[in-house]
Parts: sequence; structure tokens; C-alpha cells
Amino acid sequence: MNRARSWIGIACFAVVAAIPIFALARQGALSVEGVVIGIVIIAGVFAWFGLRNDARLRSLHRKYPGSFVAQINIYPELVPQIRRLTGAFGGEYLGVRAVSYGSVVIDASSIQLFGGGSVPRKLAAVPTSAIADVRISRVLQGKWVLGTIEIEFVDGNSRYLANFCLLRWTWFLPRIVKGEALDEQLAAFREALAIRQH
Amino acid sequence: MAKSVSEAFDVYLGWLTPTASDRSKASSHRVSIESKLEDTFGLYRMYESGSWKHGTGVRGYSDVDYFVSLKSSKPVYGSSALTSVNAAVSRASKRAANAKRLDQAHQNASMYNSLSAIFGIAAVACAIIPGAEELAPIFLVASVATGAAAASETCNAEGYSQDCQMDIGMTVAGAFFGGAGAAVGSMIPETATGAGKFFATGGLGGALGPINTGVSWLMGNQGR
Repeated sequence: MNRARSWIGIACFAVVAAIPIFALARQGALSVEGVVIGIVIIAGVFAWFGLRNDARLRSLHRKYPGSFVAQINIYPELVPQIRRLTGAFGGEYLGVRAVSYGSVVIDASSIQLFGGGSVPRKLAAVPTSAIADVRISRVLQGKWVLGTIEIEFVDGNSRYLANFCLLRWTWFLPRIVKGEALDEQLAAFREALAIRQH
Repeated sequence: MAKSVSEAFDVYLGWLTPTASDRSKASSHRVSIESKLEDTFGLYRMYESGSWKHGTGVRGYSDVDYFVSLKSSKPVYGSSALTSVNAAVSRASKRAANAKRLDQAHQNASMYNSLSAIFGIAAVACAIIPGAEELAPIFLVASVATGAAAASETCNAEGYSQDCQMDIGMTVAGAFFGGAGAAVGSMIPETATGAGKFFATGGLGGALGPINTGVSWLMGNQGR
């Protein structure tokens, strides 16, 4: 069923994409030069974002050696989760903007979120003292079901969750981490948090 | 470097002789003048004469001379014939320049419309692909901006024509959907890709400019 739905989605997108191109071609107003320039610009924008994210990741690795560093997608649901966590456990909340690329740094004492370009800008920090569990979970983004690493915080009888949707840039294209790669990231998450317990 | 007086003269002569490019330009210009005069008066014949014809023309100095036999009635004054020939050639030159300008404007508009469509498609794709949402508004803005550039080209070239109105309308629609999408999407946090979806609508709006001109063409309007 899901497979059929995704094919319907791809078909709808193909129609949406084909209509303007077809319309321009029919009236002889399709500029091959314009299409080529457009594709080059789009590739350039992706490459620029990919390079910015790689640079931020390298910078964070240098700044926090030994910590777990990963790229994340700051989707809208994560923002209130982080706000609730910082409200409940202290930490810092410097403003997290939804629908943006970020990085997460996990070390002995905190989970930190960074945004910005090649120079990382701290967005929030949550202490790790109340973490009860780390596991793989799922979140719904529109029609997409995405694999996330879910961190559960406990404060007395209250439970707080933070779902991190990990990203990987392949050929300058952002891809959601899933399957075995997500299992590996979960192990790394757990290992990074275990450092605190030793 | 010439080593003798004879060789030096040969080099100097080479400098003075019109090049193949000069001859090609003159030939092309002759065709356009001949066509203009034929259209306006009718021509018995037109032939080249003078230094250019005889191979003694000096580069950058000599004109190309033509004799023209027109099909018009015998003028009372020679000057009036010259004036009317001059006017005919000028009018035709202006028309040709205007046509060239329009053609250039249409080429530019085509390029901007193609860019707008490609950016609109990219905006839609980014808005619905998880992980690429951040790029959707960038491509949306690019789509609307290039759509506006296409409208500007069309309007400058053709005045307030139907194409111009349509391009402006669709650019405004793209910007409106994009802006409204950003605002509404940001107010609905529970729909995870709310902003993305509405940006997609904006991207589609931006891409609708070419669609609309296509529809206009299908309905029998001249379009571009």
C-alpha cells in the first residue's frame, strides 16, 4: 500500500514537473540554455549547503574531540521537544528554527544542538543527567514515516522525549539516515552516553 | 618583420586591403539594402562599382559604391529621390532594429521562464522530500524572481500586452502562494512538513507562469 502511494506521489510530481516544461516546449519558448543554467544553479545550491554542513561538522569534531557528532534535520516537532526539555532540566535554549539543517553533539554532560554555516552557532543544550533510554523510533513528517533516534528523559513521573532525525549528505544531497546505518548511529549514541556513566 | 623594402610594401599593402570579414559584412549589408529597396520601390538592378569592386579600396577609408536602378517614376528633383531612398532605408533599419530588440527580449523571457519553471520544480521537489525542506524557500524565491524578470522583459518589449499581464499575474500568484505558505506553514507545527507543503504550493504557483502562457497558446492566443 505504501509502495503504491509513493509511486502515485512520484507520478504526481512527474506530472507537475512536466507541465511547465511541456508548455514552454509547445510554444517554442523553452530555452535549453535556461534549463542548463537552472540545473547548474540548483546543483550549486545543494553543493554549497553540503559543503557548509560538512564544514560545520568538521569544526564541531575539532571543538569537541571524542564526542558524538551528527547532522540532524530540525523538523518542526523537534522544536517544542527541545523547548520542553530545556524548561524541565535547565540547559540553554537560544532559539531553534524549524525546517533547517543542524548538528547534534553528545558528550559526557550534555546534548547540544548547533546551526549556522561553517561556523557553528549553538541553538540549545540539554543536560544528559535525566536520560532513561535511547532507542530507535518513528516520527510522521507529513506522509513520510522517518526513522529517528529517540531519547527519553525522566523527571519523577514525567517523561520527555526528543526525536533526532539524522541526516547524511551523499553527493551533496541530504538523505535521511535509516536501516542499518541508523542502527549504527544508535550504537554510537549509546556509546557516547555511556561515557558519562563510567 | 619585413627584411627588404619590397617585403615592407607587401606588409603595408596587407594592412590597407579590406579583410574577408569586411567583405562579408559589406555583402550582408548589400543584401539587406537591396531587399528594402525592392520592397519599397521595386528594383531593375543593383550593381557594385568603385574602388571596392575594383580591388583598390582602402581599409577603413573607402566606402562601397552601388548603382541602383529603381522601378519608380522619374523624380522631378534628384534630391527628392535621394530623400525617399534614405527614408525607406532608415524605416527598414528601424523596423529591423525593433524586430531584433523584440527577438532578444523574447529570448531573454524564454530563458527566465525556463529558469522559473526549473526553480519552481526544484522548490516543489525539495518541499516534499524529507531533509531537503530548507532549500525549498530558496528555490521558491529564485522561481518568483526569474518569473518577475521574464515579465519585465516581456512588458518592456511589448508594452502592457496580454503576455505581459499574464507573466505579472503568475509572478504575483507565485509570490503570494509562497508568502502565504510560509506564514500558514509556520503556524501549524503539528503538521511536520506544513511549511514545506505550503512552500510547495508557492513553488507550483511560480511554475504556473509558463503553464498559463501554454494554456493561452492552446486556446488560440498568439502567446510568444
